[in-house]
Amino acid sequence: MHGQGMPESFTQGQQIAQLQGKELKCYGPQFGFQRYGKSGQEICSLFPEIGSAADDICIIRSMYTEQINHDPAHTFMNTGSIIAGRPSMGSWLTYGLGAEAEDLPGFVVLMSSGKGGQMQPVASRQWHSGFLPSKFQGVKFQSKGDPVLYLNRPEGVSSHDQQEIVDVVNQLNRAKHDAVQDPEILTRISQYEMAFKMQTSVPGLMDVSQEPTRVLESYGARPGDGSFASNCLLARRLAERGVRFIQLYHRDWDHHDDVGHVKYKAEEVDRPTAALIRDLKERGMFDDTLIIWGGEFGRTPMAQGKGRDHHIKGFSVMLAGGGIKGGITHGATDDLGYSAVENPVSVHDLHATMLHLFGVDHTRLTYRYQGRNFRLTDVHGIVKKELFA
Amino acid sequence: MRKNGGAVSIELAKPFAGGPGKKLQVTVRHSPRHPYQHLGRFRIGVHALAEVDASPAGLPDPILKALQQPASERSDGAKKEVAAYYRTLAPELARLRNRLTEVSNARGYLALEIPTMPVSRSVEPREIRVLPRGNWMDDSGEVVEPGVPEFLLPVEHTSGARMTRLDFANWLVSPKNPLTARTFVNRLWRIYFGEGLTRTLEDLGSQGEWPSHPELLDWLAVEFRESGWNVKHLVKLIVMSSTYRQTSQVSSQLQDHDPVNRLLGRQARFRLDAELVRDNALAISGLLDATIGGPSAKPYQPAGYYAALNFPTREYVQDEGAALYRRGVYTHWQRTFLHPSLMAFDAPAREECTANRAASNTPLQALVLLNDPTYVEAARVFAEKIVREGGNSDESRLAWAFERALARSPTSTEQRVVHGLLQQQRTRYQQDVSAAQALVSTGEAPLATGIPFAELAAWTSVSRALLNLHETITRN
Repeated sequence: MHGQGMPESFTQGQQIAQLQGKELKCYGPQFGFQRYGKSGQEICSLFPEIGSAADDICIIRSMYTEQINHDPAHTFMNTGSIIAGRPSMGSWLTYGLGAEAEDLPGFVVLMSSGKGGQMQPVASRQWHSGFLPSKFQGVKFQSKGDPVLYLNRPEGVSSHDQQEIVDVVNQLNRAKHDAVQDPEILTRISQYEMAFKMQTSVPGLMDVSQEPTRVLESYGARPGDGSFASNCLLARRLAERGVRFIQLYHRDWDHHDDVGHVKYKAEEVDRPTAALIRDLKERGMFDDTLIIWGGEFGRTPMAQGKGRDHHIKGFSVMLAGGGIKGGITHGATDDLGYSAVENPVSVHDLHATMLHLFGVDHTRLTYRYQGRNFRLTDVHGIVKKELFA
Repeated sequence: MRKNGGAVSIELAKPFAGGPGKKLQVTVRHSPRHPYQHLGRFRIGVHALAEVDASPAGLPDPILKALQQPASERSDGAKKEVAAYYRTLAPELARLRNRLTEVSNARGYLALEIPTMPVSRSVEPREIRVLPRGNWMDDSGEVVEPGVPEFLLPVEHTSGARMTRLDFANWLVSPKNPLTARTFVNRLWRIYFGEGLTRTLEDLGSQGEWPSHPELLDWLAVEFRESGWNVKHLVKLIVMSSTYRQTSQVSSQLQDHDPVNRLLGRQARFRLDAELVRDNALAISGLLDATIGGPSAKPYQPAGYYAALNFPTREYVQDEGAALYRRGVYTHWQRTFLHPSLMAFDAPAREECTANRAASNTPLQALVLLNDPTYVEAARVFAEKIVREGGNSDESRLAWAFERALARSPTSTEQRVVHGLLQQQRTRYQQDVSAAQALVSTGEAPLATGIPFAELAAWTSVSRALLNLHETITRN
């Protein structure tokens, strides 16, 4: 079918993005697929390392979403709503479960960029707490400068000076609390203690040079390079320290013009992803850590030059660990890869399933705002029990 | 070169010898002082006459025709036209013409500086339908017209069947409609008491909270409306009330009886809103620029904060001078990446209407107050002020600093603890003057002169401690 007209029966009345009103031609896979592992999962041959973990991962091939443009689709994937301002899934989860980390935020965001120029912007709303209290907001660690904004002391102030000042602040705050008995003051004191600890714990966390060479090599991470590989390693270190929700963004996937560039993306993400899975397994953390790997939508099976347009009717997401059954492929699209037809999974279903794996009933994790109870899944969401180990 | 009305004639210094394969290239450079001052439509003509004059051929047709007639036969209209045309050329009027051009140009520039509001002409309203399950592609829904929910006071239509915006505006402020004034008053009350009389600021309906003092809410609402919607009157009324002027100290009996202060038996204690946290520190230090209005300000912001933006990529260019110290409400609002200091203190991203802000208490807030250059600079400028204006002894300076930051004197414990910090830091910075200098050079405010660096740095540590107190960012 490659190069032939896309049958109208597939596309009629459908929303598409930049190809709207253009001549639609089928565009076959540009890279081969291979079977990997005992399970024989079919994975694109650009991802041999992920292939080597085939028996640990579950591939959902029947995802669909409702939004054709990046920003709303991205917002939908993160917050379950296209209306900006709702809490992100990381905020919901930290609101619901709290976090074990004592000297780190419960929800951390890391971002890396690819070699290509297809950099979609990412808005901070993607990790915003919306109407939930802002302590549940994701904290984006910067790859350059202070890892956490305002983490570094002012010029001319030593760690000891800072400690002296924080001690005085806490002493005076405690005296104030003794006088007025306001519990907010006690919270303030503990937050200053936490902030002070973060000034040591965060640089310690970010300094991956302490990792054995073997580990650095398995991820393909060079300390301080800000790469996806380094961020995967940091994600493991954050998870080890009890951070509840860690979100890694790797930009540069918007291949309208040349889908061949996916091979550069594969070089950037294949090895670190597989290394993270292996590393978590070696440390006995794999069963307690859920990995969700995917984007806000897919790409068309129709050509846009040598590239592909945005596509919402069928795309893939990979899950691993955290109670997910490994080595399975869930759902399928139609013969031309247009629509999810077998066991379709909506974004709300993905959220419901994720919350279930964390022991949370998605219908009962609510927050009252503007006169009604809100949920991450709104009035939708089906827990996909078939995916569970 | 001669100017002739809208025409310029240029004589070449050396004659251009044309011929096959030769080109005369004319370059017209537009380099106006003002971006709108370009040549509009222009023509370029070339001729081979040795001398150029205002030949009859250059005259507009009607003028030429009039002049070709004997003067006695010219109509009055034609005479006027000729005279008017002559005034554009007459050498004796040149000075006045130039003056006129200058004045009308100046007027044009002035007009360009006046902000204009683009207004669209009203057109036939579109047909609006209910979208079944929100599906915008389904036009089977019922056609609807502008209106308000049925359970509210009906809107009076002044003309025709369809409600106009004027009808709606009149409805909003109608004496028969108490909701607007009540909502506003309730929100204003929150500013002065930390909570509204109805705590659900965004919802005074049946899903919202019943007001703690319904009669007070109504009375204030009527007072507000009858004062001609005079906000200042309302603010005065509230802040001069004995309820507002109560202490926030609470007896354990009252605490047990009314833990969340619904009965207003005391003043409330609550954290300042994001913009005010900033304003307060700047005001204490004396740096605050309280100018009202004007363009957005770009205070210090960590480098690379906009790295995730694109189309186009953005480089944050921080302001200089007084703009660095403008009030928080004027901070530049990047919609997808709000200024991190404001965000840390719960300023909303403005993605949803936020009537009631949360007041969270997080470690990031501590990091902002401790390390954001805005607050470090405020502290070192405050330190300078303490040394200059707080008397000559440590004790009088500490007392002065407490008064300025907290509007009260220090307790003896506070005096002792802070004095301990001062002495410790004084010794430390006397041993490391370059560290002292680095600290007191934070920010772009001029470096204090006449105060030793170590002394100023030690006081900066004191003022940093004061600016970080819970009490400093709390409305007590």
